[in-house]
Amino acid sequence: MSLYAFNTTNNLTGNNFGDALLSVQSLKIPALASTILLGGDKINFKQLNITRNGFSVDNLRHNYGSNIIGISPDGKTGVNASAYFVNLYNAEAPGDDYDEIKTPQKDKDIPVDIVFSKDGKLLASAGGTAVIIIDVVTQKVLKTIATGNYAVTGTAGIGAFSPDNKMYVAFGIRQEKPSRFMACFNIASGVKLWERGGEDYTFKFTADNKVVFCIDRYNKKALWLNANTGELIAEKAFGDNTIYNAIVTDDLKFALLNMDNTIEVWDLNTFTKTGELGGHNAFVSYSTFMNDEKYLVSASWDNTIRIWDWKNHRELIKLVLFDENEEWVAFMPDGRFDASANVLKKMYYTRGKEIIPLEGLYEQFFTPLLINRVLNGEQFAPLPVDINNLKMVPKVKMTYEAGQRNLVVSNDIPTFNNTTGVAEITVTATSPDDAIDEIRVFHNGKIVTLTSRNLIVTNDSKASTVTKKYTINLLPGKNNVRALALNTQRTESTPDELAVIYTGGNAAVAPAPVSTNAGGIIAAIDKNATLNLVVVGINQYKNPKMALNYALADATAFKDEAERDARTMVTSVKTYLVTDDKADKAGIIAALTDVQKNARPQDVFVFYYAGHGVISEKNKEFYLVPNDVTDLKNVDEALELHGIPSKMLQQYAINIAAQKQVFILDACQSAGAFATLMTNDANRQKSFAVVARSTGTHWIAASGSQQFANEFAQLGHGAFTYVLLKAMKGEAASNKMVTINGLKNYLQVQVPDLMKKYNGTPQYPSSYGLGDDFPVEVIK
Amino acid sequence: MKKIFLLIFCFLGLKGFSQGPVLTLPAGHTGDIKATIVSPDNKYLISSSADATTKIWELASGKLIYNFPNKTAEGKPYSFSQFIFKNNGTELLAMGRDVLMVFDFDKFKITKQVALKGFVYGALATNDRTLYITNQPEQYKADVLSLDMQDFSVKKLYELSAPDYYDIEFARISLNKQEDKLLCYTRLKGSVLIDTAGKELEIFNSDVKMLSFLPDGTMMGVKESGGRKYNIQLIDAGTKQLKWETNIEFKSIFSFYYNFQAIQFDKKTGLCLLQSRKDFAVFDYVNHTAPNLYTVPQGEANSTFLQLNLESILSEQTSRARLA
Repeated sequence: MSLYAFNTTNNLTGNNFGDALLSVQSLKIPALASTILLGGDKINFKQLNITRNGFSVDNLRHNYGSNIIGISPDGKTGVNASAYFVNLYNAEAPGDDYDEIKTPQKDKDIPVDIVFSKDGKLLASAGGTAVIIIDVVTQKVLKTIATGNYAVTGTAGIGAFSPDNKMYVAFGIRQEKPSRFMACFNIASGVKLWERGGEDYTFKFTADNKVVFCIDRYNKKALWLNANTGELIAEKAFGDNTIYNAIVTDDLKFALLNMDNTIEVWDLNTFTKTGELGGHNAFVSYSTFMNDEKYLVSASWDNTIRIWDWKNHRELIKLVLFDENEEWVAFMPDGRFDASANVLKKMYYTRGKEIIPLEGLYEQFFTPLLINRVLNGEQFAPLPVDINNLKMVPKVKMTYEAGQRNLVVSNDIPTFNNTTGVAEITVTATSPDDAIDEIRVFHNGKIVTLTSRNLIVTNDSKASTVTKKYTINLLPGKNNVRALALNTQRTESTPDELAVIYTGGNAAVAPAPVSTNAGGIIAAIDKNATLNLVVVGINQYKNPKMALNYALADATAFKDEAERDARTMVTSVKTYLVTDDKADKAGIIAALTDVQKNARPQDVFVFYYAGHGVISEKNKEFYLVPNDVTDLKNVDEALELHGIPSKMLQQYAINIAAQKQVFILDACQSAGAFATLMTNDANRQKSFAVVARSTGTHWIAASGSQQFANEFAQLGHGAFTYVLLKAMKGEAASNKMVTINGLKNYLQVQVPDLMKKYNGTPQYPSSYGLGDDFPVEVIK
Repeated sequence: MKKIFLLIFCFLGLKGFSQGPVLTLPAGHTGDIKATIVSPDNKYLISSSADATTKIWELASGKLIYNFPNKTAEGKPYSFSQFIFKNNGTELLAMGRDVLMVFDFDKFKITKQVALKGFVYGALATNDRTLYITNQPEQYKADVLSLDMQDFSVKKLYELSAPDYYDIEFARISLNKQEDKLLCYTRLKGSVLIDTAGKELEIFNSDVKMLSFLPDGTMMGVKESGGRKYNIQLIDAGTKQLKWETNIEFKSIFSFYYNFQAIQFDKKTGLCLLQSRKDFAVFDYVNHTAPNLYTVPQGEANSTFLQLNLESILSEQTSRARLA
């Protein structure tokens, strides 16, 4: 359904209201892997992958597919079933490939569920008048069990294998009485062993194959039946409220019942309700255990998927997915969030009629690797800002007084003409119930340096309204200026934008940006621009134990490739190669300072680093580790003296005038406990994210826990740089161009694949940047 | 009566806007949209749907800002069929089956409920004084009610019995310029003109279906010309003389029975919008320009549920079509 508004004064152009969020119609989670399969309401389904190092979503759709899905207990085989076909796919590398198994179904026998045996060797595709048993290994139909003259049906959990794979129990509906019934079949012979009446069962065999436990959802009862005869051993009643769905732990100690908006936890030994999981705002349709029954995952009509610590009755994560893409957002109850790159603009909080964009809460609440860390049991420190007591979102307004407004207005961004090359911009920021902490002004996407205090308003001038004047040296052609303000809670305003077109003097008009099919803008590079390349590679540290194998090779190869690529676009390249014994703090800073002195706005600045990197225990900040830091543990003091903090890189990003900047960090982290690595990696990602965001520069970094390990000797490089070089050699090209965003996307896909191949687990590089995309190579 | 009571009980439980920030998912409607209105300040769009939710949207950004479930205490879903703003947009009246609710629009809290009998089809208000409502109190009957917007007392103005037609209803109600006459339109049984005291003045049951008064007091009638063609007639309310006529051929339309309930007038621009299934026609009823036909962006306009109060949907700059 869509709702449109039409503007009568603008030729009745339509405006759509609302996005399609994933409406979950089926939910499957393997017993032994952290994968979540979700069926949508069309023929699509999603696979969510929670790996050791990250989280990703695959949007899948098979020919003759459906939202009827299953996954083997080991998480290796995914299933998508439809009438006539059961498709098996490799759930460890989900994609377009799958094996089609033709099933002997009749027209009406559309499967309603896929059930795996506990050992994962068999699967049942059940629906209509048949339960089709398939041998997963040989991919052959083993047996077609006819279930009677009407339909095997139900919402979920309609059937179960006995642990010895000899029996299958199913729920069905038929015309004769009892019309709603359960039946148990011998799988080998297909013979019905017994049946009895009842409604919408949840089935579970005991480990000794002797007892079938079931929950009659309609009659609100738990039943224990003799598995061989169907005779009733015991029954107990749950209460008066309607049970819409139910699941049971493997040891039959707990049952979790979906009761409209809440999930009740029942102890089956004492037969008492021990707790309630409340939080969903609408009907809970499905729930399933995850991670050896440690967590519960639930899907609701409120369009959220939630992960619970069900034993402690605590909501851990709320997940939002969109229908047609692979975007996702995850929230903790305290407001911390993690999200895929493009989704921030779509998500927001409301308070009354006030809208608080998620982007505006970025600095305090953005938490990389959130899902992994929460499921890993990390205890987060309380946030300095209470999501329930946020101050109002600051507002920012830009004025360009001297300018005459151009009559041609596009996209509602005020556009001005200019002939002097200098624009005086006034920014007024207000924060009604707080103070303005910072104003950021971006010129063509990159922050401008106007004061040595990097735009942060000093304490004494903190006020609810701040007005500042900025002088911007314009580039020929169109100049985009964007301003935003932050309050003391670091909540960002919605940016204000204007454009100034400079057409005066003898300045050549800059090349026009190129629009891509994807809708993004690629800023063209002036052929008279200079590429300033600072490349740091450190194999030899003063402490020999810290020596690395491939950092130097990586740096050199990167330098050569970057220079080669740059010559396809610009005439002048200025390289600073800082390696091994030269790469102490002073050596690196000398190169950066020189770039700061010489780079002009139209220039390009690339910083590449291959060497050690650490997170300081003290301030959680990320440091590059030059050659004279002699230890990687307890080094806070040494770091302060010899390390290069991300803050310092941020300052160079601001001070270097080049508007096109990219920082590439292939910094390996010292080994440590997995949980520490994860947290450090997340802190490091956050450092980069905040720096990239505040400066309008691009940052690409290898995964923090990646090692320059021996397994990669055959590549001759670290995996990250190996893939980066391939990308720069043209593999990431589209439209005869390799751009920064093209590089990022290529790395995002290829690095995990390569890491998985050589290391067993995929690891994800991180990339951040809201600056304009720009080419790094043009392919002739 | 029990049902009404439960319904009201459920609504009293609605807390209105939360004090703290609420994570709001930008979810669109998943069911037919039954009623829409734009706030008088042109900032918000409110929509009620068969998916049992009512949503408030920020008009300019398209962002959903409030989403509340329309469920009774028994868990039974319902939707609103008419919205009217009162008191300069500070109060919103929402009508559905059996009930009228008054919301404080700043806090979105229910401040009052009035029990009505049956389903509300048409509604219009005169300057916060009187609200005219058409409803179906029982099968074979259609009523016109007037409701005092200050004390919310209800008075039955007119009752139509149609023993041969169980689903009779006044699908549309409109007021003349002097605000003393009401034109009440049924789909199959013609239209009736009554005065605001409920006295029957005139019955229209020719093949020109008398749909509505225009804001300038002219009456608008429509005649089927066969196929997807329709003849629109603007008729002087006093002399009954034809002032202007125009023809529209829609690309898709079910039948006269289902269509043309969705009529919107924009007093500022003098535009009239007639909604069909996959397209809608817009013409200038003041300067009498020929209609332009527009296609809805995707899907089909929902023309099976037609009880919108569409004058109020057209606000200064924006008109709305409702799509399924």
